[in-house]
Amino acid sequence: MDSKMQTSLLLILGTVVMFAAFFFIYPTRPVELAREQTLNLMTDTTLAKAGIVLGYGGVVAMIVGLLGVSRTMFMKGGAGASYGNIAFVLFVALVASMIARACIELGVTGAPDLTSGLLLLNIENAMASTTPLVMGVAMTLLGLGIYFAKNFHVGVGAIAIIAGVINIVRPFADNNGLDLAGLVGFGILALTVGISKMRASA
Amino acid sequence: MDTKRQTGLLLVLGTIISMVGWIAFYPADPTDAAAVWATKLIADPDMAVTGMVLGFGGTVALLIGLFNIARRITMGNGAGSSYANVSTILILATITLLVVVAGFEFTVAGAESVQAVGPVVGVAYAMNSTMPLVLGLAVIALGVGIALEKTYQIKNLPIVALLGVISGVILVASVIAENTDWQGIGWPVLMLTTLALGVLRLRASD
Repeated sequence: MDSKMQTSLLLILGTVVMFAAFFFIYPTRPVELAREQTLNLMTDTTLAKAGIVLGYGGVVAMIVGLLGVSRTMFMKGGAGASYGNIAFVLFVALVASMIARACIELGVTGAPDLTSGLLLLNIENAMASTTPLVMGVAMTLLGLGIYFAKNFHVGVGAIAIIAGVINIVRPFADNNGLDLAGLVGFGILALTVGISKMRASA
Repeated sequence: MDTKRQTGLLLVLGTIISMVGWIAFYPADPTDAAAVWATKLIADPDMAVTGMVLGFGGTVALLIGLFNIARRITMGNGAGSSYANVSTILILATITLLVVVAGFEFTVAGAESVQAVGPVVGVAYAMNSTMPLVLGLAVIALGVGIALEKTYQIKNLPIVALLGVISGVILVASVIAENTDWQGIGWPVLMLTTLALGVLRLRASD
């Protein structure tokens, strides 16, 4: 499998798996109270573990795909290289952060009691609070890089910038609608970049 | 914008912005005990968030600048490449730590009381305590790499490399000796190093 095909598969399959897992398998919702979330994760541990592994696995696949795109932009040089470079570093940090969050949530499913589970979930939620900000900055820079490098359709760059700005605002706005828009924007960006890559590969 | 100019700007502006954020806005001190630190953040959340955005943002920016310099030396396969390679990985780890700690601190600043976020305060404080160790080792490795490469010299003297090694040693020693006061020397020396590296990078002819 060539690198282009791998990147596009990571982005497309990662998006599909993430949305399927978080909307249909993961037993809790971010709008619920921390206590309810903990109880839901601890009640059906098999379902919760499947949701966590697939959900976070999908997100990690998507970020690794975007990381590949930004690294290619940097390695090629040109007008988008400097933007791709910063996006690359931030995506690496996000991958590590996502893996740590997934591990903590898996710890919640195996917690001996509600208090221990709640403690772990609060730590995970705290870690999650700045994820959109970092992801938003990375996506915006990736969009600027695409705009200047012209390695994708300009519309893809615009999607990246819009989704990025929404994600930057998320931690400060504390709005459920905006949270969903940020997540959907991230998914749309991954899908459009993945499809563009796949077409280029073909 | 070319990468050389970007690296220089990241180092210079990142250093200035982080110093403004930590010194002028951030309401707590690195020497504060965990409970005192959390109380100060909760007491003035707006100021704390502004300080954190500038402080963490600036620090991440200057670390990306250092990452660019370390990677450039690594790619050059010269005498200092093996040291710079270690530095590259440790800087990436430090950036990840910063991203995670920023999340903890945002949560603490938005909490109603220290008791409500007790575990988060504990974990954030623990991670904050060990971060200088990783960053210190990264800067020592980078300083040695720069010295061996004989680059970023001021009047043919490896002043910047030496400053980097000194700041790294102080930061590492502060963690081992559990003396946060030493960080009051380590951080400014590190800032001076990054500022000098940024200026030299901007003035470089290649």
